[in-house]
Amino acid sequence: MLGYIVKRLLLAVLTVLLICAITFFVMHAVPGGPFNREKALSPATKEALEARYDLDKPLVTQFFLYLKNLLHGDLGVSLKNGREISAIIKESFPISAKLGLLAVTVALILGTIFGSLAALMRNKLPDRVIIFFSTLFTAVPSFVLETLLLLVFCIKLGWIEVWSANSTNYLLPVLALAAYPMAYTTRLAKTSMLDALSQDYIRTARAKGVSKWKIIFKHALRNSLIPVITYAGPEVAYIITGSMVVETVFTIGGIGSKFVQSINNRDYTVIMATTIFLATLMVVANVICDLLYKVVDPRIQYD
Amino acid sequence: MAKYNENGTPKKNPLSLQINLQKFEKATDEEKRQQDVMSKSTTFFRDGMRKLFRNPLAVMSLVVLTLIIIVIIVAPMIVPYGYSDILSVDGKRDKGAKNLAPFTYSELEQEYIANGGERFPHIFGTDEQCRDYFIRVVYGTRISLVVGLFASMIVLLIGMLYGSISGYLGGKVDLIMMRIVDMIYSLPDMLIIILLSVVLNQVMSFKSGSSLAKIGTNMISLFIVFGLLYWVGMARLIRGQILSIKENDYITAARTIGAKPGRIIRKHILPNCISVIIISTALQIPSAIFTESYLSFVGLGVQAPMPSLGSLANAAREGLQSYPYKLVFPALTICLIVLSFNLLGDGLRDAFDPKLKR
Repeated sequence: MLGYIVKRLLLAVLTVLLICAITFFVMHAVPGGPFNREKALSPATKEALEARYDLDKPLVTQFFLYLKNLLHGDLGVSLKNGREISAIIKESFPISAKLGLLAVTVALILGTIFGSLAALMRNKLPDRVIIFFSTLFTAVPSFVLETLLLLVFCIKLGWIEVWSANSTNYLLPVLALAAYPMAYTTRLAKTSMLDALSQDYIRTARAKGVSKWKIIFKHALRNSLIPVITYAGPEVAYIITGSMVVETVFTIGGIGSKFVQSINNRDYTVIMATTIFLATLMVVANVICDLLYKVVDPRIQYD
Repeated sequence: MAKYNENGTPKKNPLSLQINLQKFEKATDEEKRQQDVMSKSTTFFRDGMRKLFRNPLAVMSLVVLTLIIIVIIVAPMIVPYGYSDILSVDGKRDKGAKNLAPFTYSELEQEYIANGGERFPHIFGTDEQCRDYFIRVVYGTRISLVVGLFASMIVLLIGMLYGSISGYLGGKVDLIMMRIVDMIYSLPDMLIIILLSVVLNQVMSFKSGSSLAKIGTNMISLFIVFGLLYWVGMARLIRGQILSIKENDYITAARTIGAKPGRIIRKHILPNCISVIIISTALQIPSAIFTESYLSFVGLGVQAPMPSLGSLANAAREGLQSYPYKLVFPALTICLIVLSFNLLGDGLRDAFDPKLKR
């Protein structure tokens, strides 16, 4: 177990380093530097500025300097408005984190409930309805669904106020963000529940006269949760990229909409820092999921 | 002593341990008929197709996909408008044809029709730049489908090559190749796509007018990223298949008579995992279409004026309250295509490989 954890953590650190390297060198391929203004600087001034910011050093040295700064929490400044990127992240991340965590929870819990219901009422009306909607939701691009939700509930019906400084209703954004992973979890939970229900130990328990609900909750549900937990890793990744869309559509000032803004403004330092930040988050979430998976299912061997 | 009984069966030597054939009765004609093979013998492929065509959802999605493909091939030949042409009547620019509702005409066009001219209806109306919306959706569908197919082909090719080499050679080579796959697998693909699109946009430039320039650097970078990152899932799948097929006796037989590894992989192993490959390719196409529409939303989609379903739907979000149909048409097309491919993939999986579960 310990060996596995160490190996997994090493892979994670290596991945983060790889991401930093890709981001750094890819961004350096962009033509033009930070001092390319409309008014050309004199060569002497430019040289002095480049020396001041270590831009005259070899690229590899610059990369290690960048890594060192990252480790100190210094993500650089925005090219467009000169703000500290770490300050931007500190201000916008809590909103996104709340949105994302709520969406993950909603998707996992509701997905499991719907999936188990569909499996227990196989081929009956509730099963058909649940599977119909979960198939439908996996085929709608998220921004279309979100735009429609916003239009119907906020503007046409006026039930929920549009997101603004004094109205922060998480209901719609969370539901919109959770829709796709929830649909996927539902399908996953259904198949794994059906699988669990057909196992021999379920028949044994039923033969012994264990009550129906006890069988479902104690034996079937617990075992059917394992594939659902495996999906949690990719789900976090989906939620992080999905939150960019949700936050932009609902005009929520989270880190996702800041990222989309920086892409549209070609604000390279912000793109770079946010990519590294979000990617690290995904890698960490994946590690946690992998370890959790081993804890939940002791049958799995540690290689 | 006669060697045979009256009914033609050989007589039994009393000392022999042979079964006494006299105790058996000859089968009557009716009983013989029971042994006849009534149905034609089928191949694996034909059997799978029969199962597929019995699945109503899969048949429906096949029909829908065929219809969509026919429409996107035929429509540009019938509809007299171009996807980037601003509408004009008699060579005069029609500035009133902005944001028309489906099947309506602008004032200029109505005048023209009243004077006896013929005008092809705007089936989906027009957009804010006075372009026929139907033809834009048709071209958008073309682009999205081509992106999906092309991206899956890239994934298939690289994944098949890498996976089969890794699986066939096994041992240390396999270990190292799979570690690389693990590494790439843990990279956040969407973020890398965005990053590469942003940069390649600045770095790459194509001769204007060439087909590459028309698609735009964003799509090229999408393909590059699919080629760099997305193949790992396919590679893993094919490696797993090959590992299990490799153990079969016919592979050993082929090796004993001196077949080369390349031939064994091509002739003996790949045909046996073809169903898995086809199924996961069918499921790859909607994911590529989704990725493309996502990139369009972030502002990294196809180059204007070339439309894609994603960029059309995204552009329609502005002014949604006044012209909701502009979102509905491309969004519905995306849904139909993605849903059809998903259901077809499920159907194929049920028909050809009931063991494979997602």
